[in-house]
Amino acid sequence: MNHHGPLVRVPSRAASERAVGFGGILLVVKRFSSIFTVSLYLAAVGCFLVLTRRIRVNPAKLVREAGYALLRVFSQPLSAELNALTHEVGHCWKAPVGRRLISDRDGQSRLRLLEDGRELPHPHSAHDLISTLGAGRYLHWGDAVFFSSSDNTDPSANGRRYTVREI
Amino acid sequence: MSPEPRSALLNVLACPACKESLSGRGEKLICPIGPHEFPILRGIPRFVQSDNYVGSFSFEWNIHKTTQLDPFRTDDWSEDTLRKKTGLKPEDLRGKLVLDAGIGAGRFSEVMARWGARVVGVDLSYAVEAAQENLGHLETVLVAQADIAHLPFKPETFDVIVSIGVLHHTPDTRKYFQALVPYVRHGGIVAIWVYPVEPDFVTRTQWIPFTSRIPDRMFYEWCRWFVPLAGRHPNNLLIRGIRTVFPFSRQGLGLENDILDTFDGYSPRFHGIHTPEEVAGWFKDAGLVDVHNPGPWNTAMRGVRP
Repeated sequence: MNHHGPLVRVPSRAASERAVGFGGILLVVKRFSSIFTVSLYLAAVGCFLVLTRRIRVNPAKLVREAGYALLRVFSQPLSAELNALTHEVGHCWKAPVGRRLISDRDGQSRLRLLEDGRELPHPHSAHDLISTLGAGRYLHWGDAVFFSSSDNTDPSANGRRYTVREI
Repeated sequence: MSPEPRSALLNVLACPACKESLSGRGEKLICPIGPHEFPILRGIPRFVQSDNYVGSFSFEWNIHKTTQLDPFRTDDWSEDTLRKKTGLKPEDLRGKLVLDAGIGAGRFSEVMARWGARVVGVDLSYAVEAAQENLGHLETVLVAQADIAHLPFKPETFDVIVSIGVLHHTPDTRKYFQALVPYVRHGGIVAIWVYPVEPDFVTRTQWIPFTSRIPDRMFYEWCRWFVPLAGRHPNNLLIRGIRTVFPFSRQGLGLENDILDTFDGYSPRFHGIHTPEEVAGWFKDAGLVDVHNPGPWNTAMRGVRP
Protein backbone atom coordinates (compact mmCIF):
# COMPACT_ATOMS: atom_id res chain seq x y z
CA MET A 1 0.00 0.00 0.00
CA ASN A 2 2.53 2.53 -1.06
CA HIS A 3 0.47 4.65 -3.34
CA HIS A 4 -0.71 7.89 -1.84
CA GLY A 5 -2.59 10.72 -3.41
CA PRO A 6 -1.06 14.15 -3.35
CA LEU A 7 -1.48 16.13 -0.20
CA VAL A 8 -3.85 19.06 -0.43
CA ARG A 9 -2.18 22.23 -1.45
CA VAL A 10 -3.09 25.09 0.81
CA PRO A 11 -3.93 28.19 -1.19
CA SER A 12 -2.00 31.17 0.00
CA ARG A 13 -4.23 34.20 -0.04
CA ALA A 14 -1.49 36.38 1.35
CA ALA A 15 0.72 35.46 -1.58
CA SER A 16 -2.05 36.14 -4.09
CA GLU A 17 -2.76 39.50 -2.50
CA ARG A 18 0.89 40.42 -2.65
CA ALA A 19 1.10 39.56 -6.30
CA VAL A 20 1.37 42.64 -8.48
CA GLY A 21 1.05 43.49 -12.13
CA PHE A 22 -0.77 41.50 -14.74
CA GLY A 23 -0.48 38.23 -12.82
CA GLY A 24 -1.99 39.90 -9.77
CA ILE A 25 -4.91 41.26 -11.77
CA LEU A 26 -5.50 37.83 -13.25
CA LEU A 27 -5.59 36.31 -9.78
CA VAL A 28 -8.11 38.88 -8.58
CA VAL A 29 -10.31 38.36 -11.66
CA LYS A 30 -10.09 34.61 -11.19
CA ARG A 31 -11.05 34.90 -7.54
CA PHE A 32 -14.05 37.13 -8.16
CA SER A 33 -15.27 35.10 -11.12
CA SER A 34 -15.08 32.04 -8.86
CA ILE A 35 -17.08 33.82 -6.12
CA PHE A 36 -19.60 35.07 -8.68
CA THR A 37 -20.04 31.60 -10.19
CA VAL A 38 -20.57 29.98 -6.78
CA SER A 39 -23.00 32.75 -5.74
CA LEU A 40 -25.01 32.23 -8.91
CA TYR A 41 -25.04 28.47 -8.41
CA LEU A 42 -26.10 28.78 -4.75
CA ALA A 43 -28.83 31.27 -5.64
CA ALA A 44 -30.20 28.85 -8.26
CA VAL A 45 -30.05 25.91 -5.86
CA GLY A 46 -31.64 28.01 -3.10
CA CYS A 47 -34.54 28.98 -5.38
CA PHE A 48 -34.97 25.35 -6.40
CA LEU A 49 -35.01 24.16 -2.78
CA VAL A 50 -37.51 26.82 -1.74
CA LEU A 51 -39.79 26.41 -4.76
CA THR A 52 -39.86 22.64 -4.36
CA ARG A 53 -40.53 23.15 -0.65
CA ARG A 54 -37.52 21.10 0.40
CA ILE A 55 -36.65 24.13 2.49
CA ARG A 56 -39.71 25.68 4.10
CA VAL A 57 -39.88 29.42 4.33
CA ASN A 58 -42.74 31.36 5.77
CA PRO A 59 -43.59 34.24 3.37
CA ALA A 60 -45.77 35.88 6.03
CA LYS A 61 -42.78 35.97 8.37
CA LEU A 62 -40.61 37.58 5.71
CA VAL A 63 -43.25 40.26 5.06
CA ARG A 64 -43.62 40.82 8.81
CA GLU A 65 -39.86 41.17 9.21
CA ALA A 66 -39.77 43.70 6.37
CA GLY A 67 -42.59 45.59 8.11
CA TYR A 68 -40.71 45.63 11.39
CA ALA A 69 -37.60 46.85 9.61
CA LEU A 70 -39.60 49.72 8.12
CA LEU A 71 -41.20 50.54 11.48
CA ARG A 72 -37.82 50.67 13.17
CA VAL A 73 -36.74 53.43 10.81
CA PHE A 74 -39.51 55.66 12.13
CA SER A 75 -39.73 54.59 15.78
CA GLN A 76 -37.79 55.92 18.77
CA PRO A 77 -35.04 53.65 20.16
CA LEU A 78 -36.31 51.57 23.05
CA SER A 79 -35.42 52.61 26.58
CA ALA A 80 -37.28 50.79 29.35
CA GLU A 81 -37.00 49.26 32.78
CA LEU A 82 -37.02 45.47 33.06
CA ASN A 83 -39.86 44.05 35.09
CA ALA A 84 -41.31 40.59 35.69
CA LEU A 85 -37.92 38.97 36.25
CA THR A 86 -37.98 35.21 36.44
CA HIS A 87 -35.18 32.86 37.44
CA GLU A 88 -33.99 30.55 34.65
CA VAL A 89 -31.02 28.44 35.79
CA GLY A 90 -27.80 29.13 37.70
CA HIS A 91 -27.01 32.84 37.53
CA CYS A 92 -29.37 33.37 34.60
CA TRP A 93 -32.54 35.45 34.85
CA LYS A 94 -35.09 36.27 32.20
CA ALA A 95 -37.14 39.39 31.55
CA PRO A 96 -39.45 40.32 28.66
CA VAL A 97 -38.33 43.22 26.48
CA GLY A 98 -41.77 44.45 25.55
CA ARG A 99 -41.14 45.39 21.95
CA ARG A 100 -40.29 43.38 18.84
CA LEU A 101 -36.64 44.12 18.02
CA ILE A 102 -33.90 42.30 16.18
CA SER A 103 -32.47 39.96 18.76
CA ASP A 104 -29.33 37.82 18.72
CA ARG A 105 -31.53 35.03 17.44
CA ASP A 106 -32.37 36.92 14.27
CA GLY A 107 -29.27 39.03 13.73
CA GLN A 108 -27.25 41.09 16.15
CA SER A 109 -29.13 42.74 18.97
CA ARG A 110 -28.65 46.46 19.51
CA LEU A 111 -30.03 46.24 23.01
CA ARG A 112 -27.77 47.13 25.92
CA LEU A 113 -28.53 46.20 29.50
CA LEU A 114 -27.77 48.64 32.30
CA GLU A 115 -27.50 47.93 36.02
CA ASP A 116 -28.19 51.10 38.01
CA GLY A 117 -27.34 53.07 34.88
CA ARG A 118 -24.04 51.27 34.21
CA GLU A 119 -23.81 49.10 31.15
CA LEU A 120 -23.20 45.42 31.88
CA PRO A 121 -20.04 44.15 30.20
CA HIS A 122 -20.86 41.12 28.04
CA PRO A 123 -23.72 41.40 25.50
CA HIS A 124 -24.43 38.51 23.04
CA SER A 125 -23.19 35.92 25.57
CA ALA A 126 -24.05 32.25 25.21
CA HIS A 127 -26.90 31.08 27.44
CA ASP A 128 -24.81 28.49 29.26
CA LEU A 129 -22.08 31.05 30.03
CA ILE A 130 -24.69 33.35 31.54
CA SER A 131 -25.93 30.59 33.80
CA THR A 132 -22.52 29.14 34.74
CA LEU A 133 -20.27 32.23 34.85
CA GLY A 134 -22.75 35.10 35.09
CA ALA A 135 -20.87 38.29 36.05
CA GLY A 136 -22.96 40.60 33.87
CA ARG A 137 -23.22 38.39 30.81
CA TYR A 138 -26.46 38.76 28.88
CA LEU A 139 -28.23 37.79 25.70
CA HIS A 140 -31.17 39.29 23.86
CA TRP A 141 -33.03 36.32 22.40
CA GLY A 142 -36.44 36.63 20.78
CA ASP A 143 -38.61 38.86 22.95
CA ALA A 144 -36.64 38.44 26.18
CA VAL A 145 -33.34 39.30 27.78
CA PHE A 146 -31.42 36.51 29.55
CA PHE A 147 -28.99 38.06 31.95
CA SER A 148 -26.96 37.87 35.13
CA SER A 149 -26.21 40.65 37.60
CA SER A 150 -22.66 42.00 37.77
CA ASP A 151 -21.93 40.15 41.04
CA ASN A 152 -24.29 37.20 40.47
CA THR A 153 -26.70 38.37 43.14
CA ASP A 154 -30.44 37.90 42.65
CA PRO A 155 -31.49 40.84 40.43
CA SER A 156 -35.05 40.67 41.71
CA ALA A 157 -33.89 41.23 45.29
CA ASN A 158 -30.56 43.09 45.16
CA GLY A 159 -32.27 46.48 45.03
CA ARG A 160 -30.73 47.52 41.73
CA ARG A 161 -32.56 48.88 38.74
CA TYR A 162 -32.20 47.05 35.42
CA THR A 163 -32.94 48.94 32.24
CA VAL A 164 -32.48 48.25 28.54
CA ARG A 165 -31.52 50.78 25.92
CA GLU A 166 -31.43 50.36 22.17
CA ILE A 167 -28.29 51.82 20.67
CA MET B 1 7.01 17.66 13.64
CA SER B 2 8.08 14.28 14.93
CA PRO B 3 9.88 12.17 12.32
CA GLU B 4 8.76 8.87 13.90
CA PRO B 5 5.52 7.99 15.68
CA ARG B 6 5.75 7.06 19.35
CA SER B 7 7.08 3.52 19.72
CA ALA B 8 5.04 2.71 22.83
CA LEU B 9 1.80 3.58 21.10
CA LEU B 10 2.97 1.96 17.86
CA ASN B 11 2.59 -1.37 19.63
CA VAL B 12 -1.15 -0.73 19.72
CA LEU B 13 -1.36 -0.94 15.94
CA ALA B 14 -2.38 -4.19 14.26
CA CYS B 15 -3.06 -5.31 10.73
CA PRO B 16 -6.61 -4.19 9.81
CA ALA B 17 -7.16 -7.48 7.95
CA CYS B 18 -5.41 -10.11 10.09
CA LYS B 19 -5.52 -8.31 13.47
CA GLU B 20 -1.94 -9.36 14.18
CA SER B 21 0.61 -7.02 15.77
CA LEU B 22 2.72 -5.24 13.23
CA SER B 23 6.47 -5.17 13.22
CA GLY B 24 8.38 -2.12 12.12
CA ARG B 25 10.97 -2.25 9.38
CA GLY B 26 12.38 1.07 8.29
CA GLU B 27 9.55 3.24 7.11
CA LYS B 28 7.06 0.37 7.01
CA LEU B 29 4.87 -1.64 9.32
CA ILE B 30 4.67 -5.27 8.29
CA CYS B 31 2.02 -7.86 9.03
CA PRO B 32 3.61 -11.17 10.18
CA ILE B 33 0.88 -13.30 8.57
CA GLY B 34 -0.55 -11.77 5.44
CA PRO B 35 1.14 -9.95 2.60
CA HIS B 36 0.23 -6.61 4.14
CA GLU B 37 2.55 -3.72 4.73
CA PHE B 38 1.81 -0.16 5.63
CA PRO B 39 4.04 2.84 5.05
CA ILE B 40 4.93 5.44 7.65
CA LEU B 41 4.99 8.78 5.88
CA ARG B 42 6.03 11.95 7.68
CA GLY B 43 5.77 10.08 10.97
CA ILE B 44 2.19 8.89 10.29
CA PRO B 45 1.33 5.21 9.77
CA ARG B 46 -0.97 4.95 6.73
CA PHE B 47 -3.61 2.26 6.46
CA VAL B 48 -5.48 3.72 3.48
CA GLN B 49 -4.38 4.59 -0.02
CA SER B 50 -6.28 7.87 -0.31
CA ASP B 51 -8.70 10.10 1.55
CA ASN B 52 -11.57 8.53 -0.38
CA TYR B 53 -14.84 10.46 0.23
CA VAL B 54 -13.49 12.97 2.77
CA GLY B 55 -11.45 15.27 0.54
CA SER B 56 -13.21 18.33 1.94
CA PHE B 57 -11.85 17.53 5.40
CA SER B 58 -8.35 17.08 4.01
CA PHE B 59 -8.75 20.54 2.54
CA GLU B 60 -10.26 22.38 5.50
CA TRP B 61 -8.08 21.00 8.29
CA ASN B 62 -4.89 21.72 6.42
CA ILE B 63 -5.96 25.35 6.09
CA HIS B 64 -7.44 25.71 9.56
CA LYS B 65 -4.82 23.66 11.38
CA THR B 66 -5.08 25.56 14.62
CA THR B 67 -8.40 27.44 14.44
CA GLN B 68 -10.14 25.18 16.95
CA LEU B 69 -7.22 24.16 19.16
CA ASP B 70 -7.37 25.60 22.66
CA PRO B 71 -3.65 26.45 23.00
CA PHE B 72 -3.84 28.53 19.83
CA ARG B 73 -7.23 30.05 20.63
CA THR B 74 -6.07 30.73 24.19
CA ASP B 75 -9.43 29.70 25.56
CA ASP B 76 -11.00 26.40 26.65
CA TRP B 77 -13.67 26.02 24.00
CA SER B 78 -12.58 22.54 22.85
CA GLU B 79 -12.16 21.37 26.43
CA ASP B 80 -15.62 22.67 27.31
CA THR B 81 -17.11 21.02 24.22
CA LEU B 82 -15.41 17.72 25.05
CA ARG B 83 -16.78 17.83 28.59
CA LYS B 84 -20.31 18.66 27.45
CA LYS B 85 -20.48 16.19 24.58
CA THR B 86 -18.90 13.23 26.40
CA GLY B 87 -19.32 13.97 30.10
CA LEU B 88 -15.65 12.96 30.47
CA LYS B 89 -13.45 14.62 33.06
CA PRO B 90 -9.65 14.61 33.47
CA GLU B 91 -9.85 11.96 36.19
CA ASP B 92 -11.76 9.64 33.81
CA LEU B 93 -8.94 9.70 31.29
CA ARG B 94 -5.72 10.00 33.29
CA GLY B 95 -3.43 7.13 32.26
CA LYS B 96 -6.11 5.63 30.00
CA LEU B 97 -5.66 4.54 26.39
CA VAL B 98 -8.12 6.50 24.27
CA LEU B 99 -9.11 6.25 20.61
CA ASP B 100 -10.12 9.53 18.99
CA ALA B 101 -12.04 8.28 15.96
CA GLY B 102 -11.89 11.16 13.48
CA ILE B 103 -9.11 13.24 14.96
CA GLY B 104 -9.33 16.11 12.45
CA ALA B 105 -6.68 18.67 13.33
CA GLY B 106 -6.51 17.22 16.84
CA ARG B 107 -8.60 19.61 18.93
CA PHE B 108 -10.02 16.95 21.27
CA SER B 109 -6.90 14.76 21.31
CA GLU B 110 -4.93 17.76 22.49
CA VAL B 111 -7.32 18.17 25.44
CA MET B 112 -7.30 14.46 26.30
CA ALA B 113 -3.49 14.33 26.14
CA ARG B 114 -3.39 17.39 28.38
CA TRP B 115 -5.63 15.51 30.81
CA GLY B 116 -3.09 12.68 30.98
CA ALA B 117 -4.53 10.17 28.51
CA ARG B 118 -2.53 8.21 25.93
CA VAL B 119 -4.33 9.00 22.71
CA VAL B 120 -4.42 7.29 19.36
CA GLY B 121 -6.12 9.49 16.78
CA VAL B 122 -7.22 8.16 13.42
CA ASP B 123 -8.71 9.93 10.44
CA LEU B 124 -9.45 8.88 6.89
CA SER B 125 -8.57 12.32 5.59
CA TYR B 126 -5.24 14.08 5.23
CA ALA B 127 -6.26 16.05 8.31
CA VAL B 128 -3.77 13.67 9.93
CA GLU B 129 -1.03 15.91 8.53
CA ALA B 130 -2.42 18.83 10.54
CA ALA B 131 -2.93 16.66 13.63
CA GLN B 132 0.65 15.39 13.41
CA GLU B 133 1.93 18.92 13.07
CA ASN B 134 -0.08 20.00 16.11
CA LEU B 135 0.44 16.95 18.33
CA GLY B 136 3.39 15.02 16.90
CA HIS B 137 5.68 16.42 19.57
CA LEU B 138 3.65 14.80 22.36
CA GLU B 139 4.95 11.48 23.67
CA THR B 140 1.43 10.35 24.48
CA VAL B 141 -0.22 10.88 21.10
CA LEU B 142 -0.08 8.72 17.99
CA VAL B 143 -1.75 9.83 14.76
CA ALA B 144 -2.64 7.32 12.04
CA GLN B 145 -4.50 7.57 8.75
CA ALA B 146 -7.13 4.86 8.74
CA ASP B 147 -10.76 4.10 7.96
CA ILE B 148 -13.12 3.55 10.89
CA ALA B 149 -14.60 0.60 9.00
CA HIS B 150 -11.18 -1.14 8.95
CA LEU B 151 -9.37 0.00 12.06
CA PRO B 152 -5.77 -1.08 12.60
CA PHE B 153 -6.16 -2.40 16.14
CA LYS B 154 -6.87 -5.63 17.95
CA PRO B 155 -10.32 -5.91 19.53
CA GLU B 156 -10.69 -4.63 23.11
CA THR B 157 -7.66 -2.38 22.85
CA PHE B 158 -8.98 0.89 24.26
CA ASP B 159 -10.24 2.07 27.64
CA VAL B 160 -12.25 4.85 26.03
CA ILE B 161 -13.41 5.58 22.49
CA VAL B 162 -14.44 9.11 21.61
CA SER B 163 -15.90 10.26 18.30
CA ILE B 164 -17.28 13.77 18.21
CA GLY B 165 -18.86 15.11 15.04
CA VAL B 166 -17.46 12.42 12.79
CA LEU B 167 -19.69 9.39 12.29
CA HIS B 168 -22.45 11.35 10.49
CA HIS B 169 -19.89 12.03 7.73
CA THR B 170 -19.55 8.32 6.94
CA PRO B 171 -21.78 6.51 4.42
CA ASP B 172 -23.74 4.82 7.25
CA THR B 173 -23.58 6.39 10.70
CA ARG B 174 -25.00 3.39 12.54
CA LYS B 175 -22.79 0.85 10.79
CA TYR B 176 -19.64 2.86 11.43
CA PHE B 177 -20.60 3.32 15.08
CA GLN B 178 -21.01 -0.45 15.38
CA ALA B 179 -17.57 -0.90 13.83
CA LEU B 180 -16.05 1.09 16.70
CA VAL B 181 -17.53 -0.80 19.62
CA PRO B 182 -15.43 -4.03 19.46
CA TYR B 183 -12.28 -1.99 20.02
CA VAL B 184 -13.24 -0.85 23.52
CA ARG B 185 -12.38 -3.21 26.37
CA HIS B 186 -15.04 -4.61 28.69
CA GLY B 187 -15.83 -1.91 31.24
CA GLY B 188 -14.63 0.76 28.81
CA ILE B 189 -16.55 3.83 27.66
CA VAL B 190 -17.81 4.79 24.22
CA ALA B 191 -18.88 8.43 23.77
CA ILE B 192 -20.06 10.01 20.54
CA TRP B 193 -21.86 13.06 19.24
CA VAL B 194 -23.64 13.17 15.89
CA TYR B 195 -25.67 15.84 14.12
CA PRO B 196 -29.20 16.19 15.52
CA VAL B 197 -32.47 16.48 13.62
CA GLU B 198 -32.74 20.23 14.26
CA PRO B 199 -33.77 23.01 11.86
CA ASP B 200 -30.35 24.22 10.69
CA PHE B 201 -29.08 20.66 10.25
CA VAL B 202 -32.24 19.61 8.38
CA THR B 203 -31.88 22.59 6.04
CA ARG B 204 -28.23 21.81 5.45
CA THR B 205 -29.08 18.22 4.58
CA GLN B 206 -31.12 19.56 1.64
CA TRP B 207 -28.17 21.60 0.41
CA ILE B 208 -25.51 18.91 0.72
CA PRO B 209 -26.18 17.07 -2.59
CA PHE B 210 -25.57 20.39 -4.37
CA THR B 211 -22.91 22.12 -2.30
CA SER B 212 -20.72 19.04 -1.87
CA ARG B 213 -20.25 19.05 -5.66
CA ILE B 214 -18.68 22.49 -5.70
CA PRO B 215 -14.89 22.17 -5.92
CA ASP B 216 -13.49 22.66 -2.42
CA ARG B 217 -11.23 25.53 -3.37
CA MET B 218 -14.07 27.46 -5.05
CA PHE B 219 -16.52 26.93 -2.22
CA TYR B 220 -13.89 27.87 0.35
CA GLU B 221 -13.11 31.10 -1.51
CA TRP B 222 -16.82 31.85 -1.48
CA CYS B 223 -17.08 31.20 2.28
CA ARG B 224 -14.08 33.48 2.85
CA TRP B 225 -15.92 36.22 1.00
CA PHE B 226 -19.48 35.70 2.19
CA VAL B 227 -19.12 34.89 5.91
CA PRO B 228 -17.20 38.08 6.80
CA LEU B 229 -19.61 40.12 4.65
CA ALA B 230 -22.62 38.61 6.45
CA GLY B 231 -20.89 39.17 9.79
CA ARG B 232 -20.49 42.87 9.05
CA HIS B 233 -24.21 43.26 8.30
CA PRO B 234 -25.96 40.87 10.69
CA ASN B 235 -29.20 42.86 10.74
CA ASN B 236 -29.45 43.44 7.03
CA LEU B 237 -32.79 42.09 5.83
CA LEU B 238 -31.25 40.31 2.83
CA ILE B 239 -28.55 38.66 4.97
CA ARG B 240 -31.19 37.53 7.45
CA GLY B 241 -33.29 36.17 4.60
CA ILE B 242 -30.30 34.27 3.23
CA ARG B 243 -29.62 32.88 6.68
CA THR B 244 -33.14 31.45 6.84
CA VAL B 245 -32.55 29.48 3.67
CA PHE B 246 -28.80 28.94 4.00
CA PRO B 247 -27.87 28.81 7.70
CA PHE B 248 -24.25 29.88 7.83
CA SER B 249 -22.13 29.78 10.94
CA ARG B 250 -22.22 32.58 13.47
CA GLN B 251 -20.91 30.98 16.64
CA GLY B 252 -19.34 34.07 18.16
CA LEU B 253 -16.01 32.26 18.38
CA GLY B 254 -14.14 34.26 15.81
CA LEU B 255 -14.39 34.90 12.10
CA GLU B 256 -11.94 32.15 11.12
CA ASN B 257 -14.05 29.64 13.01
CA ASP B 258 -17.22 30.85 11.30
CA ILE B 259 -15.61 30.52 7.86
CA LEU B 260 -14.34 27.04 8.73
CA ASP B 261 -17.66 25.97 10.21
CA THR B 262 -19.66 27.19 7.21
CA PHE B 263 -17.38 25.34 4.81
CA ASP B 264 -17.45 22.29 7.09
CA GLY B 265 -21.25 22.34 7.21
CA TYR B 266 -21.87 22.29 3.47
CA SER B 267 -18.89 20.60 1.83
CA PRO B 268 -18.91 16.98 3.08
CA ARG B 269 -20.28 14.22 0.89
CA PHE B 270 -22.22 12.63 3.74
CA HIS B 271 -24.24 14.56 6.32
CA GLY B 272 -26.40 12.30 8.47
CA ILE B 273 -28.84 13.68 11.03
CA HIS B 274 -30.19 11.62 13.89
CA THR B 275 -32.56 11.68 16.83
CA PRO B 276 -31.46 11.00 20.42
CA GLU B 277 -33.68 7.91 20.50
CA GLU B 278 -32.03 6.58 17.36
CA VAL B 279 -28.53 7.09 18.80
CA ALA B 280 -29.47 5.51 22.14
CA GLY B 281 -30.87 2.57 20.14
CA TRP B 282 -27.49 2.00 18.44
CA PHE B 283 -25.80 1.84 21.83
CA LYS B 284 -28.32 -0.65 23.18
CA ASP B 285 -28.18 -2.77 20.02
CA ALA B 286 -24.40 -2.89 20.39
CA GLY B 287 -24.86 -4.32 23.91
CA LEU B 288 -23.67 -1.21 25.73
CA VAL B 289 -25.09 -0.41 29.16
CA ASP B 290 -25.48 2.73 31.26
CA VAL B 291 -26.47 4.51 28.05
CA HIS B 292 -27.18 8.16 28.68
CA ASN B 293 -26.90 11.66 27.32
CA PRO B 294 -24.09 13.27 29.30
CA GLY B 295 -24.91 16.92 28.72
CA PRO B 296 -26.88 19.59 26.93
CA TRP B 297 -26.32 18.23 23.40
CA ASN B 298 -29.19 15.85 22.89
CA THR B 299 -27.51 13.58 20.34
CA ALA B 300 -24.42 13.21 22.49
CA MET B 301 -24.49 9.68 23.90
CA ARG B 302 -22.29 7.64 26.14
CA GLY B 303 -22.31 4.00 27.20
CA VAL B 304 -20.21 1.30 28.84
CA ARG B 305 -19.28 -2.07 27.37
CA PRO B 306 -20.26 -4.64 30.02
